[in-house]
Amino acid sequence: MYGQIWLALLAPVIFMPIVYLIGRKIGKRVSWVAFVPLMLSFLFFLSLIPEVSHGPLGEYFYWLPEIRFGLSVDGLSLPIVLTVAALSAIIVVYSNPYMEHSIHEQYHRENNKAHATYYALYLAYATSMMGVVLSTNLFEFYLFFELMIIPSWALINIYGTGDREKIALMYLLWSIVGAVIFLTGALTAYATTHSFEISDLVLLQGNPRATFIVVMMLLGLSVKMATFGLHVWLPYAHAEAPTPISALLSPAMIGLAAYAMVRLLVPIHVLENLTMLTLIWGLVTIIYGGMMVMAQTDIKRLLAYSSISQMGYIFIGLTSTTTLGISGSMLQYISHGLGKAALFLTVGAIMHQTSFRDIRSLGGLAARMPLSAIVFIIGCLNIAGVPPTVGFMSKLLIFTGVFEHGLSASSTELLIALIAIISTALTIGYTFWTVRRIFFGPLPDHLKDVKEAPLQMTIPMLVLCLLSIVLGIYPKPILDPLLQVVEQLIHV
Amino acid sequence: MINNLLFVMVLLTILPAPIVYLLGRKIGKSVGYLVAAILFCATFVYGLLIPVVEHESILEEFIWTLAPVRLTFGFLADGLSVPILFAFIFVFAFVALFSIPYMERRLQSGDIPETNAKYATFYTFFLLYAGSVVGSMLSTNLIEFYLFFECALVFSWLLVFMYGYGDRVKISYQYFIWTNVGGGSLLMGILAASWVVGGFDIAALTHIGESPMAFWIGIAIILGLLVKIGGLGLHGWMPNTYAESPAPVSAVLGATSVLLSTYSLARLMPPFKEVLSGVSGWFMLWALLTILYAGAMALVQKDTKRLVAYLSMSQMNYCVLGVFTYVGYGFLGAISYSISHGLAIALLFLVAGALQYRTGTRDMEKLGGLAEKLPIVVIACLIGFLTIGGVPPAVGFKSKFILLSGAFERGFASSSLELAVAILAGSLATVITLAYEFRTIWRIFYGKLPESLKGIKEIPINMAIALLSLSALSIVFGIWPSLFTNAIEVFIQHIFH
Repeated sequence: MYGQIWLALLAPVIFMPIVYLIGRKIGKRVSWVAFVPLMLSFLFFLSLIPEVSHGPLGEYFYWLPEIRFGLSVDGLSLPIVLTVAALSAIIVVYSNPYMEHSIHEQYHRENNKAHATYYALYLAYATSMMGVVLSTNLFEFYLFFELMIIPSWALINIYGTGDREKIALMYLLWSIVGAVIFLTGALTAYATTHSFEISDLVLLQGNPRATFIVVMMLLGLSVKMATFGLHVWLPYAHAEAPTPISALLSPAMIGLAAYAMVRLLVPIHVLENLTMLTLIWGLVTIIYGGMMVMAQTDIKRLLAYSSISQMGYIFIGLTSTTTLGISGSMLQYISHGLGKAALFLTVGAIMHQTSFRDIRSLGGLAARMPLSAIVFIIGCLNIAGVPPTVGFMSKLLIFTGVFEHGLSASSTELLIALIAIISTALTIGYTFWTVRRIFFGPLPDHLKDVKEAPLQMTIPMLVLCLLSIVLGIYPKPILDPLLQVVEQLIHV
Repeated sequence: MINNLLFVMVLLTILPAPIVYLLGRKIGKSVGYLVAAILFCATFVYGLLIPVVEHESILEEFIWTLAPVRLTFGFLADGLSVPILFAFIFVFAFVALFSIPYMERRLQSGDIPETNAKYATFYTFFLLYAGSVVGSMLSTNLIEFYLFFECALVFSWLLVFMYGYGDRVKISYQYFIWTNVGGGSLLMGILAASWVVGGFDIAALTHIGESPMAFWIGIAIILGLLVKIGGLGLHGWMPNTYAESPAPVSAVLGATSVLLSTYSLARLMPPFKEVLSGVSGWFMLWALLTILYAGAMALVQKDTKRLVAYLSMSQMNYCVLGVFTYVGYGFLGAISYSISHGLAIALLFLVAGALQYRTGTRDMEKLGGLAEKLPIVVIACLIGFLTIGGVPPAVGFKSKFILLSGAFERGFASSSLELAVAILAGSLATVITLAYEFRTIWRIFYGKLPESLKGIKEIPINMAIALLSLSALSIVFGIWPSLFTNAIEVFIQHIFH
């Protein structure tokens, strides 16, 4: 059926009014209505896995004369969109008990409207993220890219914690600054090729303006990705957003910038000339993020910094411009997505059960919340790249790619590759130290009566872990088409 | 097609004026519903005309005076005028609806006696104002255009003069004098142009480029129109007038400024492309400076309506920027941006009006935390801001994107001046816009609700309908832009090929 990809993409938005109206009547239970379109989209994209190994699928229509909007599903975009859809579907279930608690704390009463708005915005956010992944046109890409900002701004602004309105504004402004820098590059590309089609970006190869375009787009996307120096907004936004949204912001959204770099910038072949700079930049991000994690006492801020650090890995992987490096960073998107979401959800569960978020008042929770402890540990294994999780595979690919590049380039670059590999120890260090601080050691008195989180929270968390282990053991259906497409992108 | 449809349409918005007045003296404010109904009919017809003009323009001509000064008197509906008119009348219709509770409050506030005659005059002038702008956008002839243009000025001046706040007499004279000076410059340009081409027909301007005077004629017309659209240095009247008019009047003034000026620029400027090629980059720069200056001013305002006034001035000049790129996308962007801006600016003035109606203040420092109390207003305000900021899914996104694509195309095709303008307009100006917009939302709708506003209620139904309808149109056009851009595209094809 033609139009089915569009339908799958837009299903959440089509459900928005329904969810809002029903939500005003039934309150928090509307999360199950919101779950329907997200799950349908996920299942639809899942069913495309066998098909994409034969080649990309696309659907196009003319939005304006000469401007063609399309959605394309291939070996590269499918795994990413699947991750986004899966995370959105899983987290919406988790939102139900979490948001009930947090809305109750905020308003001190039942507030059906707050639930209705939350799930409506949530659906818009999900669609915009999937739209970014599937776009075939720069105009369309930018549309979804900006669209992402608005619901996430509103979600932080209305449902966040702490100084939420100020932080939401800061998040919005940083995002817009990134978006307009990107826009400068995109419009320059249009003025050069007279086409908005992403597939026409290859025409820029060898053009004198190509470097400018790539640098602008790279900078713009790096704001979203929170590479060192452009990361200021991230710890605030991710720490103060409502936890289910942090679990979408952090792993799903910021990584989309990396996907966009692969999709848009790799075929122009300018990144090769910048590798030295980008490798150093990525390395600084890894180490800075890792160091900052150690210094945090707030468990959500801690995870936020670890996201910065992990983005550094994705960044060096893709800027190594080798097939393995790029595929590795895309796989890292998936593993970080699953792993970091699991961590955020666990932290949310801890906040929900204990109402503490300061790591110094936590400890010994493994005995009280065993399922959460297991999820958190698997999440950490995933982030640290330890088998059997998919994180192992992704880190391995990234390092192979970076190393391969280092061997063929100068000795400085080889050195950078080595340092990057060694700094994985940092990740393992901070993740397991955190596990120890939260879950082991003596149980403080005020946590004696803590119980395990409700099933609606623990099941989504366990599903995330399950996915990351299944993929870790059997990555083939995703990895093969991915490698194929990346190979093509590099050699166009 | 009905014979003389356009003539009938112009009469539809002018002839009922005496009836509105007489009826208004009897029934007072309810006559606003009659005005709204008339304007809704007109909206409906222009809406139906949009798909028609995608295929053919409609031209009607009458002979007004015979030789020696032969003046034809005509109406032309094409891909440029119909979409703009649709947006324009749509705004007027809903503003009329909004104004019914608003003007009641205005007239009860003390400084003007509340009599039926005051309502009658208000709605009569309101209708005539709409009619004059319609006439000027349908004109085929420069004199006719200028006549309607001046009539619009007089009626809008009367509305400010009679119903404004604060020092309304002084402010309305300031408005009148500034815009008349602009009008004078426009008239000089028009007269010189007709002398050069030997006739008043707008269509005859096509060959004006061959004349040595064309450059100065072009400049005179542009300066005249830039007063209307608030180009930096020519904007002296704008913040005061917008801030001190009653909200419905500010809304229609804002919509007229942007729609009529952009319409006129798009209609009159194409023949001057060659002669102005040396300076059009400087006009782009002027527009950019205005955008940045007014944007910076908006950041420091405390009064809601002054904020919207500066915001409007800032964003309108994107249209000027788009027109002077002289490339297809620039024009398409400018025209569609004028439509999106016309909708949004009216929406925002109405939001400011609704806030004033409910809270009695325009001072942002006395507002806060209203999101809970006034959900419809917060949604309308957000959509207005998204439209103006060029953020999807509002129509502003698409228009601004197209406009900037045109600016970049021009920038790379000509000198570094145009390129710098394009880049700054795309980046710095956009960021400033979103900064003041979201800061305003924060200040008005979030934060702490002052004690005095605890008992506040949602706005009356008339106002809610007006706000939601304008918001809805912005979203509908945003998602499905070809509803109106196909027609504009036809016009663009016609002038650039």
